[in-house]
Amino acid sequence: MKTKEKEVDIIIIGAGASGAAAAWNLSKTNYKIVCLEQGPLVNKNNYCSFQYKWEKLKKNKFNINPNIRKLKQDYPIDDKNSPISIANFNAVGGSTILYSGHFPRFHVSDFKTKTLDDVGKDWPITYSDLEKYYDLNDKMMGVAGLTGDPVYPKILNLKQPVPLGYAGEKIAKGFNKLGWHWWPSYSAVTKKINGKYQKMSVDKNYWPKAIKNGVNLKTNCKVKKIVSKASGQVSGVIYLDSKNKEKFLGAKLVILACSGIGTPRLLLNSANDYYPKGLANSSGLVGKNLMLHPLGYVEGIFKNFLASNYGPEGCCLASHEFYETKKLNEFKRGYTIHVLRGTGPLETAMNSLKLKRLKFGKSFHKDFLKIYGCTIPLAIICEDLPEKTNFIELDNSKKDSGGIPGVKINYSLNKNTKKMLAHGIEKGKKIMKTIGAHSILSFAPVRHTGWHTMGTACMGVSAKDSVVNSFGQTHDIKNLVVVDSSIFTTSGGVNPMSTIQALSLKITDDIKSSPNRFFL
Amino acid sequence: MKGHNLYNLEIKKIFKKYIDKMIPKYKYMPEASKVIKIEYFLKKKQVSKILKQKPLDSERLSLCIKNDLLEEYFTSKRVIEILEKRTKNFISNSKIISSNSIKLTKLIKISKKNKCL
Repeated sequence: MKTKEKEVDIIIIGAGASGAAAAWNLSKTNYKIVCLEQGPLVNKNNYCSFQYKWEKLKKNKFNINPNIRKLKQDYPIDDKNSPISIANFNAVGGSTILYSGHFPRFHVSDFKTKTLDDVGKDWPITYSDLEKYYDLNDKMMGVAGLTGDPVYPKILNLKQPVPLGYAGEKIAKGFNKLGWHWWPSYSAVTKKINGKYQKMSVDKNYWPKAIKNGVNLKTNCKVKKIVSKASGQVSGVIYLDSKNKEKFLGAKLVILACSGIGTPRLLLNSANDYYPKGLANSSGLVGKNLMLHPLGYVEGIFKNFLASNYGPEGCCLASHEFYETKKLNEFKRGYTIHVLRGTGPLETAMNSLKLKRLKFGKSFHKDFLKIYGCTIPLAIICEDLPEKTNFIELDNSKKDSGGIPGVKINYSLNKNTKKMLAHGIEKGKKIMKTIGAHSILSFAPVRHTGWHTMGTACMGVSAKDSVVNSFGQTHDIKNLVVVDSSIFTTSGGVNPMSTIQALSLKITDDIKSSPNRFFL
Repeated sequence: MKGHNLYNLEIKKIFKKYIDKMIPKYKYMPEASKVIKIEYFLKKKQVSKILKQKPLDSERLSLCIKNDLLEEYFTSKRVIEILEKRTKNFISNSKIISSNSIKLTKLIKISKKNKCL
């Protein structure tokens, strides 16, 4: 038997990057807002980045793969039919608890790939529409970087960039030698007074402010279905509270902020008599056009110690030399060359053992010290094009702890991406050779890298070929809005966090300025 | 009881010798037994079963403990601190210019072709 709770104005589902930005932006109004988050509020002192056993924690309860982590709040994701497995984290803060804090923006061209390159689709909005929200979000997240990057319109008010480190400077000189673009990373990493770097996550900045302004954040609450009692509108949600008790919470407006996997999962699971194919799915595109940013990996090993492991994980420098479509290339659009830090000691030892670069016995340490801190890794982050054949569907054979169906991923790399990855690997090797690597390892695609889940409730002008309009509002249901990465029309070739949050801020500003457009 | 304790001590000794052979001392890096808890491994049924067999199947033992051994060793406070010290010593003795924004800007050589706007 369901308990009926008192109706609120707005329900936000999900307290991750986009949900937090939406909650904070709307909290400055008189609306009564409840946010339902399936995970808990993690004690900051328990974050793996604060502990010397961080690498061990990353293998267990802070594992990026929900199928390995298997926490109460996680739902099963069958990724057997995909070369890339899904990575996420379910808690207040969402994936920002585990991400590397890399914060590049989309290029101006990313919003009009159809017009420029005849691939993908044009977004119904432009970089200019998002620019002030990018700026606001950079301020909220404390983004560090350097002004003047030639691939972007001027980005101001950035914090002091994170130092490149010795290894970063070495590879930067290599980029200079080849005449390739590079720029220090845009990172949500702030220098603390004691000299240590702190990565910013939304539970530390957006959420405390939103809660102070009156948003009611309910943790460990899994939304089972969005309820629609009449065509063209939703009336609230059915959710399971922390004690697995089923409740109905009514609302005038429902905002989805559950990621490119969680949002289509919920829309599909909310099918009813009015919407038998799932909510907001008249186009049949809910769950389709899944984009994942296939990733290539190149690692150079150098004779001398470079302290490449020193510095915030994942944030060093990036090159956009091959980001835009070039006539001579056999593929459209492009990729970022993202220079990473060296791996931690445990990962270094484990990988080296697997690759037979290291063996137990007399020479164990001697060999280990020839690798640890002596490597420079880089990632090739490829723009993924939207395709209907890449999709997610409900998996009724595997359910989560609340009995809600899991998800099955159906995904393969297209020809364009394969060519792009091969090109990126070749260029990655070239830079490693230029700076004197004595040994180079490369492979693609990297399996455990499906962080960036995009496109599964895509934004567009027409209800026939998109799920939401330029206001994030579903074409089919007036008071149902999506603010997460599922609404991306195309994927760009950079980490999407900055664009996810800028979009969420823009859409919630639209709700504040034109409420009649959204509320019944 | 006394005999049982002596037996356990003997097993512990054999295991300690074995893991120190896998990860021996080298310069400032300690041998495995100096930083890991041997009891953690001996509590594992499969490990104690292998250790009780004579002659010792070292290949099987190595296969059984290698991942846990690396995990315990490289996440131990002592090893982490030693490796951090090595890194910090290197950093303080190196010329790194990019911690200064102005010098960092000078490091970047932009050609006109990079103007993507």
